[in-house]
Amino acid sequence: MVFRVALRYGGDRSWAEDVTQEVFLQAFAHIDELAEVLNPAGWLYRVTTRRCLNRLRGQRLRTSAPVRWALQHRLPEPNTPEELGIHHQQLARVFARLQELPPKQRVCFWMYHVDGKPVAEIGEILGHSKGYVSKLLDRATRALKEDDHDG
Amino acid sequence: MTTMAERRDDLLELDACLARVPMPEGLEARIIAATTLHTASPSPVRRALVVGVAFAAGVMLTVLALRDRPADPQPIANVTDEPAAVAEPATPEPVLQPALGWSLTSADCEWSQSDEWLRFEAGCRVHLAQPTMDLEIWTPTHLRRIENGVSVREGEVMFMVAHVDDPERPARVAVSGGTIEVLGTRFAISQARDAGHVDLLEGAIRFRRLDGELDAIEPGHRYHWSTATLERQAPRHDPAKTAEQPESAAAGTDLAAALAEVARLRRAGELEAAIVKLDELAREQSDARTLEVISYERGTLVERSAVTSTACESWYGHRRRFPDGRYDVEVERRIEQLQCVPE
Repeated sequence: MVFRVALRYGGDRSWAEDVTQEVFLQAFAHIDELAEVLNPAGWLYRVTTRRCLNRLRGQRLRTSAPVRWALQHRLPEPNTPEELGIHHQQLARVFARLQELPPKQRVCFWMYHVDGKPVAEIGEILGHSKGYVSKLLDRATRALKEDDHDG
Repeated sequence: MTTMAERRDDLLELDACLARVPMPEGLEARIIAATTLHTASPSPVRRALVVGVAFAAGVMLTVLALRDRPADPQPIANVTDEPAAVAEPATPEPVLQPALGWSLTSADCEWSQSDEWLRFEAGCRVHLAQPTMDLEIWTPTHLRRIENGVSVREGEVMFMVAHVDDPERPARVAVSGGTIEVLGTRFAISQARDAGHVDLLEGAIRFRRLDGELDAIEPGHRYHWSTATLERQAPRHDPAKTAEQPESAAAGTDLAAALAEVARLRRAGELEAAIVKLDELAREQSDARTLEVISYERGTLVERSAVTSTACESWYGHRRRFPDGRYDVEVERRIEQLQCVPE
């Protein structure tokens, strides 16, 4: 589950691999608390989601023009949809569009529409109000709709 | 159009695809190894000591690097009328367009010239006097000197512009979709054949579109332009018909093309010709909104090309013709800056 969630947000196997390792290291560091958690899968889901979001935010900074300029940094090539087992063209297009959404919108969108999480729970996991989560969902939906119109 | 239900089906199928991607081999072993290392990690005191030593080493290296930093780079070559090879750093020799203030500040810069455009290869660092700006070329870029700035034709380039004292004469960077006006800042431009964007790193810049409207750009923001939009607005001409007409008349019937022509004249510093062009254009228009754009554009040109009293007259005339217009705030600001005598 951890690897799959990371893969959907990062869109890259090595990226997801790194997140998975970090999550399990965090789990190991909190092993005592984890033993008392009623729903360990839920705990892992929360930790993975937050970690992915933090990484995506950091990644945004690292791939910004000033940082790339300062570090003379080239962006690594992400996995192709085929490498992720997405062979259907329509699905590949949807996935590519989702990857273009800003990190918070992308995460909220997956949590709401695929994992079926209620807005309140998404807000609690990400540390945002329900209103803000609704706004993020609305923006993501509109962005995807605009893409439909353009496409 | 895709409905939400269809989209949800797509998403679920996508999720199922991703779920089938196997975990990389050896990941479990890596995690176990990492947790073992984690257990064997040093005590907090020892870790703090390591961090402290690393920090001190970093400070020392920074001090050393700053102490050994060379003095400000001297221009090693100017650009001349002859298609000369890159000048030797040791023997700076005057080359193309020295009057235009180009000079290279990197020793291994490759450049060439075609017509009035200079092509700089990636890695070049170029210094420009009046206005003072340093350019770092990221990808092969075509540049041309224009009044108070440069024009970028294709490429990716980082600009570092020194503070400009006179806000009425900002440094200018012309791109396909308009002109960036700068009073001192750092920004990166990416310009393709007919579209591009600018990333503002610090300071504040504004983008003057081909229709004369100004867009403010905030630090950290990316601003896109495209001349394709302009082309879409322009009605299609019958090429045969166009060929029969004088060039100016053909352009005069097409607002977008005429504004583009005015922008070109403005970039070339031919302000009087740009004003004449706008006057011609105004005579052909009846739409109030278009006339207001033209009038405002004319005002900015008059301000740059004429004495203050004429510029004031122009702005007051604009204000009378377009009370409560869309440029009110900007016009008031300009009147105030010019210290115009109240009407």
